[in-house]
Amino acid sequence: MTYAYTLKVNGRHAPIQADPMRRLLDVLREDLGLTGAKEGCGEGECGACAVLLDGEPVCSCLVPVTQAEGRAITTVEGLAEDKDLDPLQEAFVTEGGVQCGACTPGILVTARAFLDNTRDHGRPLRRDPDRDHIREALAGNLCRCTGYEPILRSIIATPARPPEECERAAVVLPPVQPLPLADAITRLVNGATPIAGCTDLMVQGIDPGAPIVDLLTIPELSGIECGDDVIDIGAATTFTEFREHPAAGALLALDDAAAMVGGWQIQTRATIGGNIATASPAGDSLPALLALDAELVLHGPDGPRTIPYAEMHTGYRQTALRPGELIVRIRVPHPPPGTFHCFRKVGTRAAQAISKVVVAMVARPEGRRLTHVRIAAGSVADRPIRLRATEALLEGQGPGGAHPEAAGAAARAEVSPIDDVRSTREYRSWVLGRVVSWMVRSFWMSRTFRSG
Amino acid sequence: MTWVGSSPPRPDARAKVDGTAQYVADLSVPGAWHGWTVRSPVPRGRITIIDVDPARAADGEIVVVTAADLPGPNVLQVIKDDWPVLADTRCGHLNEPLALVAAPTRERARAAAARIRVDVEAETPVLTLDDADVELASCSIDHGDVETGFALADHVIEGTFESGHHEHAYIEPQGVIAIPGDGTLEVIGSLQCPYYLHHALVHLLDGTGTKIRVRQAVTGGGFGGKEEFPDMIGAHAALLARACGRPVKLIYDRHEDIIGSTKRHPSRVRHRTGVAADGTLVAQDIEVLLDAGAYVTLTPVVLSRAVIHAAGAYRCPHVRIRGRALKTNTPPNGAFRGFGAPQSETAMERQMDRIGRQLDIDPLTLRLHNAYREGDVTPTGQVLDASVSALEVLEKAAAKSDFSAKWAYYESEYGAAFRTQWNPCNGIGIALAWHGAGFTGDGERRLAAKAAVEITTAGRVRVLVASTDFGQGTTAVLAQMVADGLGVDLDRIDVAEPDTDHVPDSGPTVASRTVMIVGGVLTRGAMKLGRKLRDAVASAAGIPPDDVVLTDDRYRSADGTDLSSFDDAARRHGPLRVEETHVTPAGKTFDETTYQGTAYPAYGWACNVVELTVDPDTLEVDLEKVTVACDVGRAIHPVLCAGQIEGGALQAVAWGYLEEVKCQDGRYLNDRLQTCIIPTARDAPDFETILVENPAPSNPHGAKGVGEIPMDVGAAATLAAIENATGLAAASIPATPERLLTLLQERDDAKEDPA
Ligand SMILES: Cc1cc2nc3c(=O)[nH]c(=O)nc-3n(C[C@H](O)[C@H](O)[C@H](O)COP(=O)(O)OP(=O)(O)OC[C@H]3O[C@@H](n4cnc5c(N)ncnc54)[C@H](O)[C@@H]3O)c2cc1C
Ligand code: FES
Ligand code: FES
Repeated sequence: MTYAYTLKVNGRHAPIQADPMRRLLDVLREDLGLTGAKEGCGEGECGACAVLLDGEPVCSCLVPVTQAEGRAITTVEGLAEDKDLDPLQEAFVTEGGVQCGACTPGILVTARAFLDNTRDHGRPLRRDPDRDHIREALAGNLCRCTGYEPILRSIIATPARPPEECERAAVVLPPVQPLPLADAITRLVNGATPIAGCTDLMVQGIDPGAPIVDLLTIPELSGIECGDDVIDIGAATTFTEFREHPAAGALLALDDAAAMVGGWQIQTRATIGGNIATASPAGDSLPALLALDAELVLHGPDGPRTIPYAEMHTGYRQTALRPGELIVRIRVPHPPPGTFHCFRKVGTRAAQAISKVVVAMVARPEGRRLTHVRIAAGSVADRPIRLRATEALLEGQGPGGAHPEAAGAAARAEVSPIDDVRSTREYRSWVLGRVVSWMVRSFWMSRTFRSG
Repeated sequence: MTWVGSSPPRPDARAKVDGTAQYVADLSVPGAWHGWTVRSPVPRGRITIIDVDPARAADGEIVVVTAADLPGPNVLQVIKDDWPVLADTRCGHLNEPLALVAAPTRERARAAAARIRVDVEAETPVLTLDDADVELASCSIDHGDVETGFALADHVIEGTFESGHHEHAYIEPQGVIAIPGDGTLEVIGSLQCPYYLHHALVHLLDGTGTKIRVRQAVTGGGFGGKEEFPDMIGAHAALLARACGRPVKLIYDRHEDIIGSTKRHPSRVRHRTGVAADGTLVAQDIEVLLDAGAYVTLTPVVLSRAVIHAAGAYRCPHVRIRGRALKTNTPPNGAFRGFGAPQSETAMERQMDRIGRQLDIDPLTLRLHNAYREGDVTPTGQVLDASVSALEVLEKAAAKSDFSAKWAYYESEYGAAFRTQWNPCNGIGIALAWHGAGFTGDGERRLAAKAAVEITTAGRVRVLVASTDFGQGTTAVLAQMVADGLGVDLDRIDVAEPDTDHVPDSGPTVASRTVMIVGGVLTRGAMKLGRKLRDAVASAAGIPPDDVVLTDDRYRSADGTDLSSFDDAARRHGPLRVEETHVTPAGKTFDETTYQGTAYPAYGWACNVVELTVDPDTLEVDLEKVTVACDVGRAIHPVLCAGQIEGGALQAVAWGYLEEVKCQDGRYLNDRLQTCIIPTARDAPDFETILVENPAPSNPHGAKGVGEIPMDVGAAATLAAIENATGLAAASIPATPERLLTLLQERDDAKEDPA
């Protein structure tokens, strides 16, 4: 059944009638005639459909219209004021940043958000952009024509806007009507689908008219509390929110994982709870959460319960969630100072990639010994796993007793990965060993530097 | 001022940055239905049933087209008449189009297509070059006598190189709209070659008396992928539109684009090279094998270019090249930037590195020693009499990147010691390319490309060409050339939309021919047109034409008397039009049976240097910098020229280490963008681009084309850099970490290294 929505697009109100899960991309292109955003893949990979939601880039092919209501939507058509091009657009015209133009609308809005971003947490300040930062910001926007070089030149040539104008562009509207947790559970029991950032859900496909429960509107699922003992993360926290929160500094393994999830458009939307619930063996935050000894607070028709995260994944894409149950909070013991964190993702390319192998290691140095060793890996089994034999080999050992190569060999012996379109079992097994060795070696090197 | 050589904003840029540019999917056509394609479920077999009843029963409104509904011959005319518009009795590859559905919405069309029952009696498919034995094309070159050459050689070095399918991955997928009218049919699409599609549709609707019109919408990338393939999707949309009597949009989504469209031909190239002790090439025996897929498409032309370029940019007195393209039950392969040359030149460049290692000569020295100089003779017997820049591009790129010092350092520091390194190891690689601009041999003579220029009474200059802009900047560059030919301001020039009702057939926008050939024709046309208007002004003033000059938009006589403004002259004497046809210079011929003669009117030259690191823990490659020195003859628009080089170089480099389409049992496993990997901004290197300008005497401005040469040897330089860093010599691309691991383990096994 369709509903009436009022979208705020490029500063104007646009009333529309649509199914709740209709893609924002289709609403913009078909209902509002704004054909600037393009469909290059329909699954979040190319960024040609990127628009800004409250100043942050998202893939409009993965945003259901119900989650776009009440947010400031900026499309490429909204960059120019009347007839005057934005200086960024001017630069693309003169510096050769446009060739076929199919990627251009998505790149322009993303670059605009990048140049206007005045926050200094999570991502570096972008007032004076350097190439690496631009590359990171654009990792979710594929361009096949330019080799990116003319695009970088165009962005670098764009004069910075006065800070007031940037702030205005980033203004956040009041949140939509909150949904009580109990009501949400009732609706789930009645068959509604929980939706969070929709970066998995919209790729898998969902009936546009399906009944849904928008987890982003439930207060219990949002916010991060950074206590002395526990860091308590709402399941609907996006990777961007997490990266920009001070807690990220205490959970470096998770922070590094968050930085490697998709491109910027995906990080803006993808939630940690969604990453867990999707239960992909390649999910990047999952090994980090395992290594950090996280617990999950779940809430269902029978009320809340808490389980160790290690008990969450019960098989290939299977979880311990019961019908009608939600992940509400992710509770991570606050690591003591000096904790060693290490995260490594080996993906199909440098960014916006699915992991071939992903490993997280957390350990506490006690004198010259390794203690409290946690090593977890993804994409090497049907679910993310702890490498318990390797941990046991290393636990309590000093430099002489825990050789990096031995740890690598132990890790390899613990898994039997598979061949798929992304990689081979041989490579996965080999690279797991190498990465684990590298991590152990890094641990000893960090010790050496600290004591020396 | 002259416009050629400057970089004015491209005319299409404004609409592309403000979001108003209308790509085919953006066009709103009232009443249009949507098409969907029913595809074969197996790679090879006899089609026994195509039952549309279940689809009709579920949705009475839909329209279905099968081969039985074709008004004319069931063939897409490309080179051979073997490619069916819709397979009827047999299918030759997986996902071959069998039937078409149109419905008021895309969802309904798709649902209906899923309900059509297809039964195919499966037969054993031929899936690899090893199993293939049906030859779809062949050609060969004999130059000197290889056996004599080998007898003179001090070393004989052999090597094989392989490459797989390669996806164009233009960001805008294929799409067309067909609009039927009263005895007419208009097709608007994302395409490179409006007259190809026009030709295909005329053939398809032969005998129906339909007047065909083809227009190009703004096109989001092509790279060859929108050269011949739009004939297929255009024909499908046309059939559906005729059947429903209303416009039909056929826009592929990414998945369908990947499974349904052509790819770069997989290749296997074998080299046997005779080399003198000092590194001089004395004999080359080369075998080029291409996997054509199920149908011929453009394969003979791709093979021909692969063969002509196979011996590389190096002189050699005795050369034998044999080329064959074989049929397999995989989707047909077709045009892709470089057109066969990247496969054969990458193989040759790897062979050069193999020779250098065997003889202990560094890669730069070996190349400088053997590269073509002016006066050298190519394997087709063509004397390179002008504009040969192989040494210059090698020297410039090597100097800019400090190649020699880095190569030697990395070689001693890493290479064989890679295994024991803890940190990413650096590598640098170099490769040299040549690329014949324009059609091979007599292609241009046969085609006789036409282009027209008009001056309207309003003083506007209209450029009428079928050449398309799909990102490269054709419109900008042709406008510059016409402005200079006429001596007027660039602002006066309008490049007409490519529309077969209005523009003459300038030939397809392929083979790096547009600037050189069409630009040449236009320049001559513009000059002629300028003389026409000037003559009219002179005769009105009663003075000899040669006494009249046009400067700053005004006609003046020799003594400086102001005669007229350009606008006034246009108003009084216009409209004027000149249509010009390409003429191949006399004496330059090519024999397609012996493969001897002038293969191309001019050659571009390029040197790529790739710098990267390889991580010993993961074998991941991280590109750092790519330096390209490229002789483009004349850079009409340096910014666009650099953009072509950088974009092409990234495609080439990524083809070397990253981009892989796995084809298993005739099915592409990488059938969506999530798995069909192309580089992101983070994968891409920094670029250093050096434009070298050694004009080709054969055409007005001396431009030699820049569209394809960047694609030719970037992969080879990447493999060379990986070898410099790791000592691992990949003989097939892409050199993924998985492939490098196999090589590393083979090396370890050979050394029986217990680590
Ligand atoms: C282009 C692209 C790149 C990507 N790259 C990466 C990557 O690099 N690494 C990676 O790990 N993932 C990646 N992903 C996958 C995806 O972004 C993540 O898994 C993300 O965290 C999912 O979160 P979400 O909020 O979008 O989930 P949604 O799509 O909203 O939901 C996913 C599933 O989880 C359920 N769900 C969500 N939240 C809860 C909850 N709190 N309680 C119970 N059930 C819930 C939903 O019902 C649904 O079934 C990528 C996806 C795309 C499209
Ligand atoms: S269309 Fe490709 S990311 Fe949305
Ligand atoms: S300009 Fe063509 S994809 Fe970027």
